[in-house]
Amino acid sequence: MLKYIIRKSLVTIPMLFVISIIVFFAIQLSPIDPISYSASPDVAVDSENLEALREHLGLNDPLYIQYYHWIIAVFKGDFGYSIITGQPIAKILALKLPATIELSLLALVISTIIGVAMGLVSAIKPNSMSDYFSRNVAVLGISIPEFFFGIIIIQIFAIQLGWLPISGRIGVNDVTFWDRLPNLILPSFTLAIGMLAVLLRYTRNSMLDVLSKDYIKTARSKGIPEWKVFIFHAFRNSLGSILVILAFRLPMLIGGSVIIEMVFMWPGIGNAIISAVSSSDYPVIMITTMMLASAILVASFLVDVLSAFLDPRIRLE
Amino acid sequence: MTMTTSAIEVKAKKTSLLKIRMKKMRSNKLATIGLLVCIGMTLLSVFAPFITSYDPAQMNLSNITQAPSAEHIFGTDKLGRDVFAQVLYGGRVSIYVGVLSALGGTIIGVLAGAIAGYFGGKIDSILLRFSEIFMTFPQLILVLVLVSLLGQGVNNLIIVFVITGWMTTFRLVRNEFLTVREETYVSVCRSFGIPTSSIIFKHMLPNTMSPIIVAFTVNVAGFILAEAGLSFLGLGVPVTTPTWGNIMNAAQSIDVVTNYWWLWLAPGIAISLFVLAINFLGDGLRDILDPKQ
Amino acid sequence: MRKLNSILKVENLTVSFSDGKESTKILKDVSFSVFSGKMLAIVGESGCGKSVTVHSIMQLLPKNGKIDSGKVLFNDGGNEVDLVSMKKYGKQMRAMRGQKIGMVFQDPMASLNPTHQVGKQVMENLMQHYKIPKKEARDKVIELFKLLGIPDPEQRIKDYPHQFSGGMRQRVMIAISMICNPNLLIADEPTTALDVTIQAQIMDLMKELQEKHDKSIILITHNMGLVAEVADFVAVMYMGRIVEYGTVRDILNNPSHPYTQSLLKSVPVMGLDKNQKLATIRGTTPNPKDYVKGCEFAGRCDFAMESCLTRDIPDINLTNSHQVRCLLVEESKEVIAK
Repeated sequence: MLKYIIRKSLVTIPMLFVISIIVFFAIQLSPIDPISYSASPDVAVDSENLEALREHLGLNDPLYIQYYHWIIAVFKGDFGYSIITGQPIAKILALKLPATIELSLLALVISTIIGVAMGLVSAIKPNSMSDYFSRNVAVLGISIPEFFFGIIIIQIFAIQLGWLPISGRIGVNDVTFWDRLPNLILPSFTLAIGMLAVLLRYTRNSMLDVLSKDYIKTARSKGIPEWKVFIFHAFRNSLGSILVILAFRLPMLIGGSVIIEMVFMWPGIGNAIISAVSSSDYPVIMITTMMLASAILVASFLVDVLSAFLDPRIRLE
Repeated sequence: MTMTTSAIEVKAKKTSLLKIRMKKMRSNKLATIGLLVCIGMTLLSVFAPFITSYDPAQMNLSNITQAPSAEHIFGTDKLGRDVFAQVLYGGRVSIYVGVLSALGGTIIGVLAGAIAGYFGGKIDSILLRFSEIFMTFPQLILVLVLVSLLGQGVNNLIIVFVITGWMTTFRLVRNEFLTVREETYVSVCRSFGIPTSSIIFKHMLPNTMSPIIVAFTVNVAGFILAEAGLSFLGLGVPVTTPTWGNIMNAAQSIDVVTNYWWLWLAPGIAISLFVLAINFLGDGLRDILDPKQ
Repeated sequence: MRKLNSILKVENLTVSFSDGKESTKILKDVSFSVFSGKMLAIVGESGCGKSVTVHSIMQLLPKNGKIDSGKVLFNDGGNEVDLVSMKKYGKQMRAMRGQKIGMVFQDPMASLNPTHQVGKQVMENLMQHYKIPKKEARDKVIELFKLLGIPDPEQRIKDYPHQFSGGMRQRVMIAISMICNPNLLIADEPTTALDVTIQAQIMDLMKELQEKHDKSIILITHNMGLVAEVADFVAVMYMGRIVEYGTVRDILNNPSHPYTQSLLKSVPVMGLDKNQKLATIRGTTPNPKDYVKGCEFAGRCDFAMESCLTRDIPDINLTNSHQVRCLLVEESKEVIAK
């Protein structure tokens, strides 16, 4: 198992570095003066100091030395400054990231529970009415644009029925999760739809695949009830590959959150990225992208390890 | 003599296989409907000038945000433009972007996949790592970053989509090639001294065609959705060119969502219907082309 | 001859499989008996319906398979019950599976769940049918592992299938089928996936179970040599029918169906003439869909007559233990009668 973890991290860690290198050079390539994001705007206003500051910050050094300084700074949590607002990027992240994580996590939980459950029911009775229904829901789920779906459920549940708020997020301070939940329901459900469809299809197919295996016949030959065959043998053995697909599709979920945040005016990272793109605030775009990619990479690594742990053939290696 | 008879046999086999597939296609109702809807909607947008007399760009400020009527069957938008005409003409760009991007992504994916899968070794692991890095970035965010660097525009969008969308086809072709490479007929080809390019394109590629076609349809659907999403955000195709996503850009304001339902319902249904049709077609093709069934 | 009690009687079993709209008869009118404490071998080429027969007995056919008619009468401690009449996954049928009838499958790697400890997989069967504490169940499994020759059972019950060799895995599989001490054991080509030396060990083990512990066994195989060594009774199957049935002596010394004869000629059997050339059977097994009427083997049979393809073929008793389904035998009997 340790060997597996080491082998996986030998892939993950270099990938993190490659991503950081790509991001660093992408910022360098963008048409902006490095000084504008390397130093706080209060310090950089004085144009006489600028040249000295440039020297002091090492911006005249060769690129690889600059990269070295930059990556050290990044590890310390110093990501530079927004060229539009002059805010430290670390502060923007600290402000916006929790909202995105909250939304994505809830969407992940919703899509996993509903998607896997519907996939299981489908697999138990393939080609039945409920299977047919689930499969069509899955195709619908990957076919309807997320923003269109969002608009429709805003129209129905917020505007027509008035059950839930239209958009926005209630701040963390002074209120409990339950107070904030009404604002979370519509956006997280919208975000969950695509992932739900993927997990539904995959769970169904993976279960059908496992159910055709010989050891399922062995389990049945012991006379155990069918529900035990499904849960303890078939589902237990599909779980690993379902987790792998979950990790594989995480980027889809995070990417989807950008659009969902716009539809529901959710003050998260997606919102920050969109406004940065509209104003060509390259440092903010690149750093947030890097953080998301790194987060996804680390999450996939963890899920991979978890799914490997579920398989004794890898765990006992 | 024997050569010709076997050639005829092969031909007969091929046509019968085609016939079986046609028969399967027709018996698969959803796939047939999907195909018809795709063709129908494409034709509607191509022949848009014959279907509506309105110019999608023609503003009429005296006639803004009209609800659907006999005159304007999908109503008019905030600048008095006819929404029906916009949806028809918008389909042109949306479908064009989707199909062309998928085509580009497929070509790159197939080439890279064939090289990686056939040669294996170092070049394979480099290409594989490369694709993995691409796949860690959420596609939409990567697209946003590239669009912000390249600037907005239909062609730029297609380029960005191709750059960010070749990986699934690549991995698929690579895996297929890795398996096919081990089969006897490939080593027979090699021992006959047939050139590598000919082995790859004339002998191995035809055997991996089915999953590539299915992946292509899935990609068309994906790119149409991606274009719609970007244009909805106002970061895709410039707003002056109507696309299904651009029309819905108006629905970013809650005022439009609340009061002018026809501005987002019609284009939203158009996108959903087209993508749904392609996905049903893709699912059908998967069943039809799968030799195991 | 001592009067034998039958533990299982299969009567006129007919099974069909459907693919889409068409349905094909895979088993046609199969009847045979398994006697207490004896081993019945069902032999035939692959695809002849051997596996389908035993899967029908256990009601473990895949979803597209269906028992059309016939009975499977199982002697459950003096009570005769018809397994076919039970619901496939109902309580009654499940009480039979594992507890009264054990089953061993062909490929021991594929038949064991890779994510469960082997001990747990054996215990699962025991604890399904008997309400006993876990500890006691585990002790029983260890005891059985010892009996089946699995070394270091206290430790090994915690291991996973991939940590075992092929032969050991098949012992685990046998342990699963034996843990509830059923009287009937069905072994579906238990040695086909194993090395030759391991094959012999597993077969010795099965023979020992049959003789020492008085188990009845149905052994499915296409290995005639094996049949000659271990079986008491033999059923020869071809294209979903039993074409010849008898004691192992009947079949080996007096093979009466042309198919059995060519089957015996095509394999080396101990005690046969060393100089005799091995024969092959002409042609290949036809597609069961193409069947029309008469004898299925007629197309490949050297002695086929016109009537073989036009008449219904009866089962003919040669002796009271030996039956053949062939017109040639009928004619020669008539000749003798005249």
